[in-house]
Amino acid sequence: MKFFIEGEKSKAICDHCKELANTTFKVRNVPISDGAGTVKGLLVSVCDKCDKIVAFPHQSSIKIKEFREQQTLNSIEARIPFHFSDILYTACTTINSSVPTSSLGPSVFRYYVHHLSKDRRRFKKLHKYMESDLFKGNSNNRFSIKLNESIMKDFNWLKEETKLSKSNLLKSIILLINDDINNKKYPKNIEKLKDLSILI
Amino acid sequence: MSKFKAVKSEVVNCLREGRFQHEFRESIDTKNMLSTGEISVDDVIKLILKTKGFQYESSPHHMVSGIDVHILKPDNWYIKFYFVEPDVMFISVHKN
Repeated sequence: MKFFIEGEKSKAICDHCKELANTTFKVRNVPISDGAGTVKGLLVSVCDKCDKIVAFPHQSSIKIKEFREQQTLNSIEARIPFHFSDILYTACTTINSSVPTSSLGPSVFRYYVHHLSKDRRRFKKLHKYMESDLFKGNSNNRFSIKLNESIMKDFNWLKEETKLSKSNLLKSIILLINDDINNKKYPKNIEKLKDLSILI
Repeated sequence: MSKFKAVKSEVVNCLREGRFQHEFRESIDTKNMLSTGEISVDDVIKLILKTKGFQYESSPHHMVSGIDVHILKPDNWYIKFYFVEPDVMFISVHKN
């Protein structure tokens, strides 16, 4: 893939000057036509004559895509017993104690939502956690997590397939994480998450 | 080689080599789904390669008559672009 460089020269038809214009790649903040907002710090091709943006290289599309996805992030919220966040945080420390649990926890949860949606054999085990002593407790603690469109689809699919309520599904997933990671019953995922955690 | 085949070959080469940009007017146009990452480069290449001659048209650019604007309409897609050597500039990539 070719990468255009800030300051590099190019050409494009300028809608303002109504001619084939010489252009220079510059970094600008750029609005999106659907009103989603302004993408900051985008490499664009600017007309040398009128200083208006006339084009942008494809390398800027990745930032545009990410920006639009951030605007459509969905969050799930539920009240669950306090000890569930301790279970998730303990799993994070088991995976990689050098990464802040506040960053790793949501990623581990998202990984499991996706992992379970792809593994029919494993998601069927979620029901058994409703019989566990750890499932009990007053649901006084607010649990909130942001999911992108794809993971939200996975979560809704799991909800539909398991027939569990939102909070019961959250609790069951966290107890599966407890078994897999804290009780080391599924070392394959510990290794995978260790590798992924260095990216956080 | 016919004009259609030459255009098709050149635009695919540009896409494969990353020599392409997206036209901008006032704001990022969400109708250009390649520019917003809603369709991948590989998928656009596949659409272009399956375009038949009767699904192609071209006409001079309304502001710069020396530059041809090319339109491909494979399946239900609409792909509009022009060449500015050595790159290609995409105007639209969207479903009809």
